[in-house]
Amino acid sequence: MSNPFSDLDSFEALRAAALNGQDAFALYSRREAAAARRRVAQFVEVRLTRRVQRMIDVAVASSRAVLLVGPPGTGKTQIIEQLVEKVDHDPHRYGLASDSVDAAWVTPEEEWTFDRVVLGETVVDGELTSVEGDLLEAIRYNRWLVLDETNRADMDRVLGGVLTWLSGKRVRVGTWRDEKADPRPVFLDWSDQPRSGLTISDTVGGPIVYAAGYDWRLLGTYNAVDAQRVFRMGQALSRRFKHVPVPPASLSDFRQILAASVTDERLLEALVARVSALYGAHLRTADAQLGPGLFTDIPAYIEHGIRMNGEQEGWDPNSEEPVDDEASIGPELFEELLAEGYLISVGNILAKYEDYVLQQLGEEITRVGAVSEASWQWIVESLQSMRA
Amino acid sequence: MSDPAVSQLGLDVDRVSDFLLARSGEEAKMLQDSMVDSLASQFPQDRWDLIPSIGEYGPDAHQNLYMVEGQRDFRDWLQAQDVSIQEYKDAVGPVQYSTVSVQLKSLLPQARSNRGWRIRLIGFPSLRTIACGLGSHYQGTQNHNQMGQASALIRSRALAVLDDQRDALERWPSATPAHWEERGLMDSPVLRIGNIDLSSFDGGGGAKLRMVRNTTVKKDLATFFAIRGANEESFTERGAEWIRELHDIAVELGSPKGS
Repeated sequence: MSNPFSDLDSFEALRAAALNGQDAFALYSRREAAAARRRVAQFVEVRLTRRVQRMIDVAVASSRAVLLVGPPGTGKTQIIEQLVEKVDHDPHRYGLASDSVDAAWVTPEEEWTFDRVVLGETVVDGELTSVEGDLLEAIRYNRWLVLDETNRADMDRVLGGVLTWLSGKRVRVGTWRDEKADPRPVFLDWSDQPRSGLTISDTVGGPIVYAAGYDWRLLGTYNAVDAQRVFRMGQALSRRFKHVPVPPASLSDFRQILAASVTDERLLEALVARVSALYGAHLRTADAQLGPGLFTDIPAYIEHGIRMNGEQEGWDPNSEEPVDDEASIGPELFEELLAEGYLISVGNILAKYEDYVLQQLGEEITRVGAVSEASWQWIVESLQSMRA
Repeated sequence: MSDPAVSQLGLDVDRVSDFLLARSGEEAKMLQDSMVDSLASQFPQDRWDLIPSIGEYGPDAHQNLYMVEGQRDFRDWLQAQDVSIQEYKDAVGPVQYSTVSVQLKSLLPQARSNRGWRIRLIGFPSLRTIACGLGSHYQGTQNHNQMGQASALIRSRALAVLDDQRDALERWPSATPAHWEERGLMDSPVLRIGNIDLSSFDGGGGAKLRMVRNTTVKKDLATFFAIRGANEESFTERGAEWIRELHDIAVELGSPKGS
């Protein structure tokens, strides 16, 4: 429990709520409790094991290109956001000579090609004109490049032309054209300075060189589950990156994360118990591990569902009575909403599972009573339309 | 939770009660420094602000007490005893209350009476009665009843926050009408106001606070989310223990959770 007495503003908020009476104070207390759970969850969500944290820190300190690899929902993007912030705050700890770090974020798309990321062309006033891709632009402005969810695009196709550069060598990536000047060759290179930048030769038709400084980094996230179904990264490109595994949160950490997603405290116990059972079943099933992020919206679905339909079942949404178990709000309604919430949150991934994985997962889920056998059967049947 | 910088022997509670119960403003001012020195042994001034204040009655205050606040039964009794407004004024004396606020510097870097919470000691010289506890403030409060209900809620939250000092706070209720109107601050009947003998009033039940306090004090007392009161003799006996208890509760309340 947080302590509003140790901070003036918090105390004044407490006092104002108390002055507005019992109901306002109860609402304040619920909101504050939810906020406290969210604070715990934010901490837990990115609480990496000591070795994973060290691998990330040291990999970024020592390597030009680093990928965080893990199941969906493990907070990889958030980890990189925090990492960039940490490095920016104390770059020297990471062995960087720069005083600050900035990053450009891009999310690859399926249709991406080399032109989009490195050097492309467009037509301006009927003339063919070169266009910087995200990589060249990041180097020009001395920003790290973060590729979020790399397996959304065929990165072999996108970065195939810069494999040599990624291994530390200068490489020609194309020709710069515009209507006002002679074509110039464009090179990607590495600088012996910390800063990245662009140099343009004074000579007519001379080269344009985008040189990444030795403080520059290429970071990415890679979804270990989707990788088998969307785009895999070939060996040639893959070995240019250091791969840091990001495992899903433990079941006990998940419970804390999930608790932050529950707004109605009366439902806290029942929701945490049932949704954690689903998460735990995934954790224990080989090839079905998922991160917490995919499950944290399920309580909101159930809470809304209960409010919208529960009154018909005789449940008083305004009651202050705790909900000891889902039986007190109608077991059938709760079971149906849980199955629905799970399906709409995780179904798109379940639909891609091999049959044997789905079967093992179903056995585990029904064994622990996360959902009933009938509900699981309904979920599996519903996946058919998600595969279309 | 005891503050290691504090001398457990240095608190002379008589010096505190002498200030709080001084019958005149001049006397209170004279005793003020001695009171602060004594409390500073419990509340080192590098960590705490000690802010004394003396509340003297306004020009028409005694008449208001006689005619309005004291209520009809008391006025009838006074009149039956041939006690005039002026005689009542002389008996009550010029000081309504004297008080000292003790607040954590970490919480209030610059003392402000309309923010936050603090340890409060407040003496009513005419009743030889002292109240102490933890109070907030009445800024934005419509009335004392609203504030009193809020204080009860604030106390419930304080109990939920405390670990080590939870049991201690359990012994300190939040203020109720009994504290700001009636006899809730007196641990035995107060049978004198100055030279007026109250033995025959209300079956010997003694004085009520409303006989000597104005409406601002009523609101002020309603801000106490922890309060106890004592007569002069009881305070001499137990005041030091109470002040140490309030110190320890305040230290834990003022510390961020987990620190």
